Amino acid sequence: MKTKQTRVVHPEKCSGCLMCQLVCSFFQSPEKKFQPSAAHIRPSRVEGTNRFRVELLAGCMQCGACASYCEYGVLEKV
Amino acid sequence: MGPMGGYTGRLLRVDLTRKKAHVERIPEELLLHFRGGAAINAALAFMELEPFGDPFAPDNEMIFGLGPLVGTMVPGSGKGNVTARSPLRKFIGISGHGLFGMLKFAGYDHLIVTGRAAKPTVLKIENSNVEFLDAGDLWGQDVFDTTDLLWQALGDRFHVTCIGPAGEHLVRDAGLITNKYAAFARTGMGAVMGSKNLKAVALYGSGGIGVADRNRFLKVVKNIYRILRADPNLLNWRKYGTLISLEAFSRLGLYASKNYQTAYREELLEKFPLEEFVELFKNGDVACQGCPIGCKHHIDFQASNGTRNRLAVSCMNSVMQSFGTFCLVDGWGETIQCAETAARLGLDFMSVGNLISFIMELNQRGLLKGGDAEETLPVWGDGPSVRTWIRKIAYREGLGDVLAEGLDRAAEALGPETLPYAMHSKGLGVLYDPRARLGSTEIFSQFTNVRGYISNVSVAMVERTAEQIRRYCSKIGLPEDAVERIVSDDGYNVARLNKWTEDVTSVLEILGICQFPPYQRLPLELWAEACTAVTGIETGRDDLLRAAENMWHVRRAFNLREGAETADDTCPERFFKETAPAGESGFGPLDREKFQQLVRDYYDERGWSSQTGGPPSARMAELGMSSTK
Repeated sequence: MKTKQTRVVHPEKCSGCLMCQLVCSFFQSPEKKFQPSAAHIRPSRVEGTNRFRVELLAGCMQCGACASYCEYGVLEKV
Repeated sequence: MGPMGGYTGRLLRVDLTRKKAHVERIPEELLLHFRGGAAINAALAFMELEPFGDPFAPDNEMIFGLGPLVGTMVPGSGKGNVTARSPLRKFIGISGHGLFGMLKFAGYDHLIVTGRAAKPTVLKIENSNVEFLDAGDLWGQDVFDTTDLLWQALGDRFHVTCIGPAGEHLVRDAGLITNKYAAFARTGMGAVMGSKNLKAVALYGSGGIGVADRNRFLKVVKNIYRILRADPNLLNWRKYGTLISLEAFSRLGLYASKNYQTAYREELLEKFPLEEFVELFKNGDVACQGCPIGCKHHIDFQASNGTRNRLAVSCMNSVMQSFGTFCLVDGWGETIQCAETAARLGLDFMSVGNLISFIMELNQRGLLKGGDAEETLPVWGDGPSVRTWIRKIAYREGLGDVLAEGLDRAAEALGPETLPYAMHSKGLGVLYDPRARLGSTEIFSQFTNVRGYISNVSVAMVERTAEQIRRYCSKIGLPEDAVERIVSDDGYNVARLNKWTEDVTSVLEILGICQFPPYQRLPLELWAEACTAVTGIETGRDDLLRAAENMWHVRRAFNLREGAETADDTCPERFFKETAPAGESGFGPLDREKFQQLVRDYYDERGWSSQTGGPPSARMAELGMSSTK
């Protein structure tokens, strides 16, 4: 069976809503809280703007929760 | 038992005079009666601010607050509120936006900033660390440059909320802006911040927000998403943002022009073609924290000097309306340039449009005399001139210094003959013409609202039958006895409906949810269930409505204590005396008797005294608010 992967497919569409970090931390952080700093995904500000580069961090479990709640098409579980 | 999730239970109190900060617990009785966010802010303002105080005195407080759902994944849960004594008149200042949630991750539900710094200061809050940074180099910088400089100095993980030159110069319609686009725009909060020598608040938090009942929480979130995603208009809300109603409002003639001398109809759509905005100017979606709608826009445009500029705009309707319809500036490109100027200088888009259209009408009528007349005055439709006047107001240059005092004070200074053209309610510029549609709760509320207009675009902004209003009331879960008072066989009572649409939108601002219509239309039971799941405090629809009612009582009591009177709840005289031509027909004038009866109906629905407008003393006593100061 092919393992599914969470991918950043359209970072340019990121609206900055932080839902990916909220969801990731709630499902995957040890404390199971809404805690963007504990998320395994990070939208980083493109200098001086409200646009973001989005990257999955080393601890990402590939659970796809972030992709399920990204309403802007930035993330996909493929 | 106290809450088990959602709240941090902590209030950070910062004294700029003494450069001190300490944490306080939020009293449980405040949580019980007011539930959070905007309502606790109102209670704190009532309890802590001395009556008859100077809004620019150090003891005025900027009270920021976030409701229990802020910081969670509940859709739309980014809404924050700031409350203070407003510099506009004797009323409470209230403003909100969706990007102050970082305060919660820093560990606080509320932040009170009081005192006055000896010199320009940046308040840096990083979790439990509070620092007072020298802002000497930033004073005088505009909002965008200040934000960039702070991002460079502190790191761009910080959320930066700052004032521009308008706030520094105590312009009474100045706002404060977070991350260059989310504005606490109205009621002059930027001027209060300027009076404190506070240039910016830089916030970062790495903490977490827990929920009390995880399974119950996931179930209710799933339900909220199911309803939102089923909304066939959801993607249009994102695509057009607040411009979604442009065509409908134009057909109804809701866009006033020339300082309420006339109104636009469909011809407005030729000046501002909706698809042209999307195709030529919009370049992406911007959202507040936790919002799946994303009603804000990235915009690319060419400035007059030929450069390509980028801007994020929260409320595109306010840009089009304030500069386009109020001042007659033509087309998206010109109005967006006006918005960029106002945002950089830290001015509320709407209020600055009100001010400039006022001075345009005075110029049109030859009512500016002496030294004032020697200035190059703005004329209808001249974009570059509007931008010049935005700057003159922000920097208090020439007649701009008079306008910087707000519409009512400006008219008083310019002479009694100018008073009829100052189109305000309680000092705050009117946004919609009641002659065009008094049946809208949003339009009616401009004149009875405690601050003079609050954004509660609701079901009645477009024409509705009594049956439609009845269905709306029952869908969101209003009490049956209220529905019977609101709706009759031949129509609905806008004043009575207004009390409830205000309360419904206030439930959202108390919990920390955006008041955008897709959120408003969800059943209150669902929000109550979300509140229960997050906090662990069993909460029902009626508990939330009661907290909203309590908030309105306390805001009202605050105003009355300052000397507000029932006579303040009225329209500018023009609406009772003149007709506004619109297309081939026209609107108005309003029937004064009918209007006054509606105001009395509103008081009655709220339980306020018909004589004094005062809230019920029994409820105030129950809240422990009767004898406070």
